[in-house]
Amino acid sequence: MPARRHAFTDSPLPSVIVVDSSFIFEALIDSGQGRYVATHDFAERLRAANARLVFSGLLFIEAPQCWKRLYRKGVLVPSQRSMDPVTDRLNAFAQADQSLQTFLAAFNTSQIRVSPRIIGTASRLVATYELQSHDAVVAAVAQEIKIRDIAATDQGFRRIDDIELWDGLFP
Amino acid sequence: MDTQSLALPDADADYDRLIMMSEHRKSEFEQVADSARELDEPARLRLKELEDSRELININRSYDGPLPVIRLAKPVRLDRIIRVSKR
Repeated sequence: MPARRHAFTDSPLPSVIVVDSSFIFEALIDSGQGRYVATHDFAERLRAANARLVFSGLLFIEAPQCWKRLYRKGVLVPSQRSMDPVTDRLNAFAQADQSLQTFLAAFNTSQIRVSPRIIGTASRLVATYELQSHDAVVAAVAQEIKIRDIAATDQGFRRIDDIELWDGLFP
Repeated sequence: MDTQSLALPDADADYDRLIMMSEHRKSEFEQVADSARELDEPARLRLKELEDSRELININRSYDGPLPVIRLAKPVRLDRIIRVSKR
């Protein structure tokens, strides 16, 4: 049975939920694209419910990649400009990193080590569902801790069997 | 008696009723928002096991202010950027 998708207004909320970077970034970054409010409000609901967010260290590799692309597009800008482009980039990244850290500090969180066992499960999930490798790691983390709830807005998660996917029912 | 003086008390009562309904709805919503499903036993045991083996690190909430936001200089398709960031 493919993922059971949830609206961000559904209840009851899970007490522990595995979060993908797609959810974290959509809830943190106001892109003017229309997903920010819904994901942000869901994050607020999780916080009010004292839910625990589980993620792997991959989040902290994906973040600078995301900042890099936003910076290249000229939409992530440092609060103060200098004459040196490298300093500007470093400042923009540092500010974005700080926002991410503050965001995560607003929740009870658990960071899980990407063990060889998780990599093995992820590899099997890539083959089974044709997932992107990073999405497969998130799904493998969920399997490892026996949690079915995943918050992610990437469409690939919809193909995974027997998970509760909190994706806001985005198209 | 003019029609306005007749209408005002009704309007006030309607407004009060609206406020009461709104407060009731709000408290209903807050009740729902604050409740979370109990963690089932296998997951609880597994989390404890992973915590004991230091494969999982729990960090308690340390910030109670408003959630931060990164505002972009102009609208972009963030979903596409996130997809590429995972490669």
